[in-house]
Amino acid sequence: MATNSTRRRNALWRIGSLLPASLLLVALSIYPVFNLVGLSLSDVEWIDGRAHSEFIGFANFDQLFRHETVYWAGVRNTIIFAICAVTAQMIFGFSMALAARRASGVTRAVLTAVFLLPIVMPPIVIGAMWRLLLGRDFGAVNTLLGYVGIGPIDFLGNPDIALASVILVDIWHWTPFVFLLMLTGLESLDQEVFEAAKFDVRSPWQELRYVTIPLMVPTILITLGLRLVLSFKVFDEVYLLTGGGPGTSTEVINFSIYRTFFAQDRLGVGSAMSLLTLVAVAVLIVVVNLWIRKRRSKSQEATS
Amino acid sequence: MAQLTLEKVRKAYGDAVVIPEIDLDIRSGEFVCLVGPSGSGKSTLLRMIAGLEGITRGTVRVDGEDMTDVDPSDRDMGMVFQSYALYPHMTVRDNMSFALRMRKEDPKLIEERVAEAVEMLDLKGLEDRKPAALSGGQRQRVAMGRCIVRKPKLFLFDEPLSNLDAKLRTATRHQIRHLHDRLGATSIFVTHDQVEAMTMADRIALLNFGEIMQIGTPQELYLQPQNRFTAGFLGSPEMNFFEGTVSVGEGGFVLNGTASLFLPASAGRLAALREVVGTGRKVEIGVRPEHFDLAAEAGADTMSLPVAGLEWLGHEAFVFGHVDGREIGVRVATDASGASDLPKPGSPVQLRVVEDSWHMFDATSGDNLVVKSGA
Repeated sequence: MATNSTRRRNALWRIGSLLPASLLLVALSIYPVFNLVGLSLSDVEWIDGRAHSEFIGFANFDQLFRHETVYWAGVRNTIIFAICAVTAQMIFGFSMALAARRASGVTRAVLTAVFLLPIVMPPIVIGAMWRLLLGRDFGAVNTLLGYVGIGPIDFLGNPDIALASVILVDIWHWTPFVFLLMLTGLESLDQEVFEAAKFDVRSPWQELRYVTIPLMVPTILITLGLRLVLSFKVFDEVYLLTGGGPGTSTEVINFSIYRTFFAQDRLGVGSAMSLLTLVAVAVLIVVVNLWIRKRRSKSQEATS
Repeated sequence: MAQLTLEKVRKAYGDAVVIPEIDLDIRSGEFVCLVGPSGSGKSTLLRMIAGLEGITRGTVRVDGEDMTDVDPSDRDMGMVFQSYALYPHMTVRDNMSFALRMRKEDPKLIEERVAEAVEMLDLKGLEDRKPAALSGGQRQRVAMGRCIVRKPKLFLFDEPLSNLDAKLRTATRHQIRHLHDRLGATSIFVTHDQVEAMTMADRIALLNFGEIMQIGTPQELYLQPQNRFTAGFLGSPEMNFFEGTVSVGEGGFVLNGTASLFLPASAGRLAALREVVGTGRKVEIGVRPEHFDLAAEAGADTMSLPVAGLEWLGHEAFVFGHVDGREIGVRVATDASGASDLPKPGSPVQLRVVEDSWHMFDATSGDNLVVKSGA
């Protein structure tokens, strides 16, 4: 009898403790997605300050796939952006973590602080700072290049290099994040293994290739996945540096959505874009997750 | 096979001196144990020999060749770590062959060497397992295999048995010593466990605060400890110590101090120590638990010990009690009949020190006056 009432109390407790989080999830995540699906299938017009929506089936998607060339330029740019920026961030972040690990005492503290500086800056400051640095006529970078007889280069105004400039700023901004995760990963490894390796390897390169990197694979994969997903959400840097221009050279997905939805008031098409992006990112997350899990279970075979 | 020499080796971290200055000679084919309490610098010394730790001053020579600033990978030494430090992402085979592969040795030779080590260490059938799928003892053997395949000049062991359970530790002790003999290797073995040192070593170097207190065979250290530290460190239960001054008596010495104790001595020892004792200097007398005889009744040459506790170990038993606030341990023989004739807790026993089997240490310097005087 007592077990019965205890069980009921446990069940109540379980439901009660899950309720707030569930409500939040429904209100903030699940409802908006359904709302988005609804919007993407409707034509929304503002009449007398009120929204009138009319179900139009897949017309928005038809429009999106056939006519929204700017969005597709954004997709292309976003993919280039993600691959280039994340690759560079991984390489730089890992190298910096290796360097910081070797350093000791004050050197290390200073090194870590300097490396972490970009990540503590608000995006608005980063945008303003890099716009000033990369400006065509008064930018510090062009002034310096002028001393050695190069330039001026219009980093943000030249369609051929604007995307590269944005990627550069993103690398600068997010490398510390990779650095931090990598450093933590390196330090959680069994240091005695590295001492043992000192007897076995003939060069630092061999140590990196055969010991450090294999042991770091789990950390590398998680960081890579995280950065990849996050880089698909890039917005602030583009908004502050180039506004998507010149032309569509730095257009990214999120910028298209922002413009379509808020500036052009085309809620239906904007929602369709959002939904498509959401699904793409969700698929990416699932794929990355599965991949990491597979690798992890493989390495767990090895370590547990 | 190699000979190792440490010349005036010093280690300091800033102002903190870990090893003031050590000279050490290890002969080819020798098995030397570095023993000491924690913080004695024994592991640091090993790591300096290995090249994992820099040397503040002094020289490390292997076969006469200066190795002081040589990288660990070029010293031709193999090391077994306390946690084994196997590569978790590699199979047993890959772990063992790693160093040879990095040196681009002939794959056939590598295979041969690994097969040999697997055979020697009884790891057959485990070659394709990862370390995680091995037991502690197996991991420990793989760690040894990793050294063996390289045929290094020196084997370095950093407390490799401390993570094993007691039974396995005993078996592995024999195995390591057996391997050493079979390979004709030169080995340095760091441990805090005196039993490991006593059972495995050709010579023991006993360290305390970065200084070698005594180096010699286990028998030398146990039977002729040069100082109080060595005498107290080796042996279990510990040697019993009594402080006081000593005067000459009939057929021996008499200790006047915390406890009065008669110390039977041969004519030779009497003569050798007479002068030392005459000055009335403060000494400490050391008597091992096995160097007491039980006397039937109290006499002038006996000491009474109220029995507080008894440890029966089968082949021997130890009686414990307190004399003047100091714990005394005495070994008593047991016989086949069991515990019936052993002293009972609560009742006193009469102890008599066995002739010439006691030690006398200077109370300030800790030197063993018996060994020093040659008695």
